[in-house]
Amino acid sequence: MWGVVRIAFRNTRRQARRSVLLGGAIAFGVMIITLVNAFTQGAVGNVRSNFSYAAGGHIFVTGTELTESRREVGRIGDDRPLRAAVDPSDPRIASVHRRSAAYGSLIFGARTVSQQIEGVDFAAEEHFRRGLQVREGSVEDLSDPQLLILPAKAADRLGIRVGESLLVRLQSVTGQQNVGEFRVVAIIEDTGSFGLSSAYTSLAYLNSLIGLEPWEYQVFSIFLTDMREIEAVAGEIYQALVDAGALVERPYSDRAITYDDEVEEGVAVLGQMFGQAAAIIAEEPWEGTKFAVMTLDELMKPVVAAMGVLDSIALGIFVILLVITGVGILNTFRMIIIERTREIGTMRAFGMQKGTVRSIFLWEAAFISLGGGAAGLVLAGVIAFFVSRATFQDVPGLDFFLDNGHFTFIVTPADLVVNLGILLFISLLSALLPANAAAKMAPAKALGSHY
Amino acid sequence: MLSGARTFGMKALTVCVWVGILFAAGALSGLGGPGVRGGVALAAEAEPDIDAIIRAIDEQSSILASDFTATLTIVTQDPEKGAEKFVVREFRRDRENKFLLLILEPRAQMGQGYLMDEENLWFYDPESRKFSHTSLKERFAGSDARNEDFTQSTLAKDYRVTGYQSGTLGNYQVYIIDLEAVHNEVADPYLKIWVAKEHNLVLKVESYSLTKRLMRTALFPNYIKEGDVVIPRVMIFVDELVPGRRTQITVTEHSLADLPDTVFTKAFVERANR
Repeated sequence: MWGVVRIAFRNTRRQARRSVLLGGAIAFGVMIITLVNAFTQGAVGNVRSNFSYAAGGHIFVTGTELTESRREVGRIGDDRPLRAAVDPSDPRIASVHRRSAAYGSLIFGARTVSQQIEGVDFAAEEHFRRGLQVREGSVEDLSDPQLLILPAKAADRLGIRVGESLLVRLQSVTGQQNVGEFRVVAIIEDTGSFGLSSAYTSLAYLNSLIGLEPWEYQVFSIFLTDMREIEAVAGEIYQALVDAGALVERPYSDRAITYDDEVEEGVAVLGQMFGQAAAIIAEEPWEGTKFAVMTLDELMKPVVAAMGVLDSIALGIFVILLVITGVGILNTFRMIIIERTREIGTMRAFGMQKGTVRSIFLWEAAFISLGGGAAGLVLAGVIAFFVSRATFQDVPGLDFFLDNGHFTFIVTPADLVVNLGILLFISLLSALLPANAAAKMAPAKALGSHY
Repeated sequence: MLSGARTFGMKALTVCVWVGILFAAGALSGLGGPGVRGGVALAAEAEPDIDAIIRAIDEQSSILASDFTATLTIVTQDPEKGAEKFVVREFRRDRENKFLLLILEPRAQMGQGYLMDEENLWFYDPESRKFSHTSLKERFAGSDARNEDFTQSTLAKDYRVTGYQSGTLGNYQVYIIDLEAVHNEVADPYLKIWVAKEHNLVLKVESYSLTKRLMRTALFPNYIKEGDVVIPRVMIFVDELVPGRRTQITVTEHSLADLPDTVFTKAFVERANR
């Protein structure tokens, strides 16, 4: 066995140029699939953490109520069942937040910026100001009801400074036009490096602008100490609400993922969470607040599905590349066998078995494919290293996938095993026909051949 | 001090100039008073029946006997983005509360459509080939016009009169009527409208927010008259919050010919993109 491996290795080195060309083609394919896999894994992770930051939690409970004309609006009026269902002292729960949100146009002079604004009960969220990285101004005194804490990006685009006032054009939960006047008390860094950073104001003032009572809100969000507890805690909250007799659903818990549907529904849910007024007429009317319990993982389904599509496309390209390379291996090995016919005849004449001859050629194919695969992994690693150090902070639309302005590449063992397994399989399959042909050669005939 | 407030005087001046030019020049030349339902105002000059005037406004803007088709050219001037032009084909069937707006220009948004189907307004995106819910209260394609600006007037149903006075607008004797929404499902909670006494045409509308801040001024200097129906030929929407921002809509190629029922269906919107 060891002798066979040694001969195969020597043969591979002996025809270095040919091996390098074949291995290079394989390396290219492995590099592409590894980069795409690593990119999608990293992007999903970044989106997860960015989304958690922007949405303000790991578990979300939204409330929907009906207007007189049965249009659905985001509002939690009576939250007693919810308060009973969630125990903030549970060690698995890091913090809870009651927020309203509106998506509006900030207007300063002739400049406008679209911005999500969250209403925060500063008195109830004592730790709120600790999480902010203040670039300008102060968040020590948050008593002014019309204060606004503005992300740096929005402030820069508006050209506004701390102490100045601006107007915000927004809609009430029923879609009525409204305008609020705010005073900027602080400009904060975008700590999540995420394009949807919120501006913050007092819950009561935002509620007054969007048509809610001061004590009402739209989203109850929960941060956990350990994200692995998401499903368990969400399930318990749902069950507690059911037991309390509340109208409650888990709209995205048991759905099969179909990319189009999930994207559409996901966008609708995000729209509600980010303060966009709904215009949908309910098919079945109800009384009071209908709760919906959702988790970060459920809301991430569209992103995961999109990344899955990207992975599948990359895998398809990888297999096509390998099939083309496989044809190359097949032809190359046929030539090799013709060139080495007398050598094969000699080995067979000295008593080498058919299976051993076959094994030598299969080992050669394995060396070329694994060598190419290793080179592809190294290349992918080098490219990922440099790309992950480049900053893409200012490229529009990429924020969502970045970690502090950088791409992240994560290689999982499962991806490695699958990709290298496919590579080895196709390479050996391609070499098998020529290897069999070599094994079946009659020694005398092979020795007498002249090529 | 608000930055926007510094330019308040300039904005007011701009609006006044617009109103002056458009109305003093008699831009309503296409209308010969007698053909338009003006009797309500004339009969009640001493003590006008404002509610009746509001109803008359709704009636003469509703095209109930036929369908309506027109091409709309929408030009938005934005101080940051410059000018942006849309060309839209409008189909209306007021008796069934249906309409369809199909974007023809710019090329990047060609084929997008807004379909009012019973109680829901749908937006169609030809790229994703998906319909999604939208609202009459939303802005149309980023302009200062809202989707509801393209539908029939329903002032009498949605608002109550809270006050009025007589005045002039350019050369026109007008009633200046204050309206307050009777429910929370209209975009504008408060309106102030300038209605020509002669023929009950709305010449100017000021929209106020829930906090009673002036948000938008709409000017209607020119109308198309077809039988008992009047349709604004030109609409100008001035954004009162962003200085220098306004949208002008010009109606051309209008027709009152009946349309096939299939026009107001999702299938038609999808087919229009093939």
